[in-house]
Parts: sequence; structure tokens; C-alpha cells
Amino acid sequence: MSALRAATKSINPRSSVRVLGNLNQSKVKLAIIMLVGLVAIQVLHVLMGGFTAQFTYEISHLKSESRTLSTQADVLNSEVTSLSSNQNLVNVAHSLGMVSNVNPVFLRLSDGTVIGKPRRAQANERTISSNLVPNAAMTTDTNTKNLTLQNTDRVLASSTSSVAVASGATGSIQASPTN
Amino acid sequence: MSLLPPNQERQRFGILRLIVAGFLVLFVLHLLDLQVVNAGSINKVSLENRQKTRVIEAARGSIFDKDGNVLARSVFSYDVNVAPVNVGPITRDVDGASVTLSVDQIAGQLADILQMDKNELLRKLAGTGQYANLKKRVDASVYSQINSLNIPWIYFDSHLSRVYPNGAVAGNLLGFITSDGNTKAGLENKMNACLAGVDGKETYEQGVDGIRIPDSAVVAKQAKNGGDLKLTLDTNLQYFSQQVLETAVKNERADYGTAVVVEAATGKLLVAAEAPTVDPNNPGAAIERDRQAKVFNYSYEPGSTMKMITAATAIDVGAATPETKVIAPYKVKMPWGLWIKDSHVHPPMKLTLAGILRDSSNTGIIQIGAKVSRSVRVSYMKKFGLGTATSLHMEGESGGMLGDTKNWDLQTDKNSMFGQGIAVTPVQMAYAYQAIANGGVRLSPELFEGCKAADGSVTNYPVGQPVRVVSPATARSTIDMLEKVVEQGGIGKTAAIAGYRVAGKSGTAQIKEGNRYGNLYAISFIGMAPAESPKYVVAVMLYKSRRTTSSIGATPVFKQIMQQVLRAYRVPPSTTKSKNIATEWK
Repeated sequence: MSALRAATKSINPRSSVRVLGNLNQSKVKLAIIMLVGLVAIQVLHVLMGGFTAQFTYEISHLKSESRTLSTQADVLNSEVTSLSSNQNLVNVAHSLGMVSNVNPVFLRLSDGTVIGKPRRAQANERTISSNLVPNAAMTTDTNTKNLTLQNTDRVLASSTSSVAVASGATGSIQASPTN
Repeated sequence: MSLLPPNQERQRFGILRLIVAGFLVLFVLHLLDLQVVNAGSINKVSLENRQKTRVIEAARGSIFDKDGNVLARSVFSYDVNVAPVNVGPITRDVDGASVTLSVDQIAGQLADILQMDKNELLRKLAGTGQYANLKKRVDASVYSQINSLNIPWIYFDSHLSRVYPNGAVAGNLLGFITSDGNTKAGLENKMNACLAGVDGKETYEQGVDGIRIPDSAVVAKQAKNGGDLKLTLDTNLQYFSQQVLETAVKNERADYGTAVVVEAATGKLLVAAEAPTVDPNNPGAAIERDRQAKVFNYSYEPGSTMKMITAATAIDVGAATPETKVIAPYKVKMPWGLWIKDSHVHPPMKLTLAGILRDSSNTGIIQIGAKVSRSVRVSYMKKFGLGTATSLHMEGESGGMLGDTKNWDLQTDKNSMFGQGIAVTPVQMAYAYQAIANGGVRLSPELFEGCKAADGSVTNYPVGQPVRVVSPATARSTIDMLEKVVEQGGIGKTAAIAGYRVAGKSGTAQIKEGNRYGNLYAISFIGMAPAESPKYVVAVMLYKSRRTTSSIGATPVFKQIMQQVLRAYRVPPSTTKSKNIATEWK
């Protein structure tokens, strides 16, 4: 007991108050740091949320654009396929009065011999007319009303062989209008 | 300042603490119950409420021809749906002014785009339901047009659909797919293992309003797209052949027509055309007969095109030469009382074997055929590929019909020499001639160049082993004789092509109606060019031709197609003359 009493007596009350004061100061500092940290985290969170929302919107927009472009590509692909189909080409050729020549003539380069008898193509009942092979996948076709093959008859009349027709009768075909 | 004695205040404070502690314990227990004890089931219910699973459709592979032209591919199509409960007028900003469109006006716009009746649309738009389908599987163009209208109560469901960009070109071979994705007939069905993909799965979350939460999707299983199938077909030639056949079938008032084009040296099938046929985009428009590959599935009695096989057999076994002489009368009475006649009345003719083929004499060919035993003739028929289906094993393919050859009656034995009493498919007959064109070696039909999987690996399909049918010398002799058919034959001449040596044989076969032969014929012509070194074989057949009842109705079709083949593949014109073979004798 005597030792305890001696120790108690040796503690200066003023120094005890200073120690407690120091302790409170460090607690306050800690609290402020924690508060600032929390605020910073919260601000960061809000900022991150904003950025995420913005990027999400941008991704969503790009996805939508990609879908639209993909759809446009499908539409254009379908149009190109339709316009370049045999069915459309035959109909255009037919509307221009073109007939397949079943009498081809060949030039043998080695001696310049012309093989085959050049004859003008004639339309008859066995000549293939317009397209006869159905195609329900065609989404568009060439508007044949506006097509012209100028001077065809004049060139055909003046030509002496189908070779000449093939090389000379280009005429003028308007850019492909579509239905 | 306390109103209570200190001991009571402490006591009450203790009670309060006990109450608070009690609540705290209750909360902790409840928390444990939620978070630990029943966490699994609660999570499950929650997930079920907000998470949805969606199948990611795998794209079916495309089908290409030999040049890479697309014959079949998968595209997105769209179901146009509406939530009737939300239907109402919409407001649009037009040139800065706000314009309101009534439901009636919107229905009018939709009716134009969807090509539907406006009143029908208005009926579908009425009501209080959450779902009504306006039209199923519209294409991207229609989808685009409707989407651009920005109608808030219209929404779409996308699906992968099959489209055949060339329509009915090779439609008989391709088969088709129903709207629910089931394969039906043809290559779509047969080659499903190559073409079909494996669907994937994705989960996503949705809010209480049923709207999908953006970017919540998680792919649980990646979809694996199907492989691309490449064929040996030539789309342009196939189209041309179908055009020619359509014209011929119409002109000849035939039931149907077929055309087969084969590359002689490789056995590649370039054309397997028919008319009429099916447009796989709209299979419902074709009758059942036309929704299949008649070139493989339908057999017919070949008639005189069979004489080539009888003649080649006799030469190959040494029983005859192209100049073997016979006297061919108009008709011969068989010992069993039946008659065998030629197609037209004529006095007895002194013909060689080449002359028999030129004039297509039945009474002549049975004399040549009789020089070879039945078993040997049958074995040659089989080597030529008759009686069994090809190694392609197409859907519903017929092997033709030789019947019980050992028990053939005597008339059938004779008839088989000129192509009656047995049945073949157009493809079988084309490859019998391919054997001759290829120096006596018959190749198995090749239709598939390979399947390219989504990962880039290529699978090739084995073709049957080549079969040596006759010797090269026999093949050459047979071609020489067939050339005389085109050079000198009454009908054969009409198959001649200026500038080229052509070898071929016509056929006018009777068709059985019940137990008797009827009045209609299967008329055909099978030929090869250029005859000095055949590159291509073309086989044409018109079934039940009503206008022309002889093969002269088939030769123009052969000629047009062969001309186009020679032109398309830039085959140089012939520069040599045919071999001089006697067709008659004194």
C-alpha cells in the first residue's frame, strides 16, 4: 500500500491533463482523416458512377448503331443479290430485246481461222424469253421501263457478223434504276 | 435534476438496456436467418424474379456453289409485335412543328409497309393485352422501315431465317427449312451435321417492369455457328439449264424435264436441273413431286440410250466391233410369240454396229446383245452404275431397277438391250456415259467440295472408288460410233453443234401405265463434247412429252445446254474429223 501511495503522490495532476489533451488531439486528427477519406471515397464513387453511366450509355449507343448498320448491310446485301441475280439480269436483257445467240463463232489465233458460221440471233419459240425460274427472295429488281439500248437496230443491220455485234453494240444503258 | 431516486433511475436504465439488447439480439437472429440460414433460397427466389435466360441462336452455315456464289444463307428476320395496352397516338416533330398521328394514321403507314390490310391491323392493335403479333419474320428492309417510324409501342423479336438468294436455282437439291427451323428434304437435311450450329445461352437481369437491365447479360454458353458447305454445282449453268428446261417442258407439254451436266475427267456434278422445281424460299408453291430431286429420286425406262451400254459391252468382251454386220428388219418375231419392232417401218437394212446405233435399231441391237451372255451383260450394267444408288446417297435416292436379273423372262432379257424393262435415274445414265467419256473409267458423282467449319477447319467428303468399266479402246470405239449418231442420224443430227465434234445417243422410251405401256414417252438425249477428247457430258430427259413423242424433242435442249457449257468453259472448237467407220454394208 505504501508503495502505491508513493506512486500516486509522484504523479503530477498538470502533466496528467496534458497527456489526455494529446490523446484527444490525435483522436480528432484520426476522425478528420477518416471523414476526409470517407468523403473522398464517396466523391470517387459518385464520379465512378457517373463515368460508368456515361460509358454504359456510350456502349449501348454503339451497340444500337452496330445493330442499325448490320440491318442496313442486310438490306443492301439483299438488294445487291437481287439486282445481280440471274433472274433480274435475264429480265433486263429480255426487256432490251436481247436474244442469246446459239451460233457462237471462234477465232483460232494460231492461223486466224474463223470457226463457226456467224449468224444473227433470232428469237423463236425455243428462244428463252424472260425469266422462268422463280425467286421469292428478290427484294428489288431493275426498273426496265427506263432502260434504253440506243442504236441497237442500226448496229445490228449494218453488222455482218455476230462478232461485230458483240464488239460494237454497246449502246447506252442508264445507271441501274431499281424498283 | 433527477426526478427519480438514483437507485430507481439505475434500475430503469438497466431495463431499457435489456430491451435494447433484446431487440438487438432479435435483429441479429433475423439477420442470421436472412443471411445464413435461408440465404440460399432467398437468393434463388430473387434471382428467379430478376434473371432471365435467353437462347443465343447459332447461325446456320451457308451453302456455296463451286465459284463461291451463295445458294443458301442465314439472315435475321423479325417478328413485329405490339403491346395493345400501350397503343395510342404518337407525337412527332416535323420541321420544328409538333404533329400528332392518330392510331388510324399509324395503322395506315404500317399496312403499307407490311403489305397488310389496314382493318386487320387495327383489329390487332385494339385491346388491353401486353402482346399481339402483327407479322412474323419480316426481312431487314421492312424492319428498318418500321423501326424508322419510332413507334414506342412496337417492338421486335429477331430470329435467324434461311434465305436462298438464287430462288429456285438448284432448289431441287438444296431442300428447305420450315419457319420453325426444322430441315426438310434435300441437302439442308442430308448435310445438317455440317450446316447446323449449336445454340448458346445467355442470362440477363430485368427490372420489375420487365425491361432488360442494360449490360446485365452474361453469356453462359457461347453459340457455335454452323459450317459452310461448298458444292461442285455451277449456279450460272444450273440457272441456264433450268431456263432451257422450263421452256422445253412448256413447249413440249411434258410432265417434267431433267438435265445433268458432268465434268468427264473429274466426275464433278456441275448441273442437276429440273423443271418445274421448287423455290426453297416458298416451298408451299410447289407440288410434292417438285419438292425433291427427281434427277436422283425418279427412275424411268431409258430406252435407246441404253444401246450404248449393250454395244460397249459387246465390243469390250470381243463379241463385236463397230463394224460388225447385221441385217436389221423392221420387226422380229420372238420364239415365244412376241414381236420386237423398230420405231418406224423399213425394209431390212444391212447395218454395222455403228449403223445400228445411228438408226437406233431395236432388231439390230438384240442381235449384237445376243452375242453376250445375260450374266455378263448384267455385270456390265452394274459396272456402268445401274441398279444401285450413287455413293452420294441423296435423300430418297433411287437405285433404279434391274429387277431379278437371274429370273428375267426372255422378253425382258431382250428388252433390256434397248432400255425397256429396266429403270434408271437421270444421274445414273449421265455417269454411264461419263465412263465412256473418261476412257472407260466411271467416277462416282462428286457434289461436295467440302465443309468449312466455323473454326476454319475443312472436312472433305470421300467419293466412291473409280470403276474400270471398259477398256480405253472400247471407250474410244464407242465414242466413235456415237459420233456417227450425231453426224448421220436422223434425229442425232439435230444435236450437232457447229465447230465441235459431238457424240451422243437419243432415247424414246415407252412408259408403263399400270401393266401396259401407254402412249406417252420419256424422250432423252445424252451426249459428250468435244468427241475427240470429251470434257463434258450432258444428259437431258423430258418425261411424258405430249407435243413431240420422239427424242427430237430432247435434242434442242441438249444442244442449247451443251453449247452453253462449251462457251462457259471456253472449250476450243474441234480441229480434227471423226473416225471413218462404216455404218452400212453391201
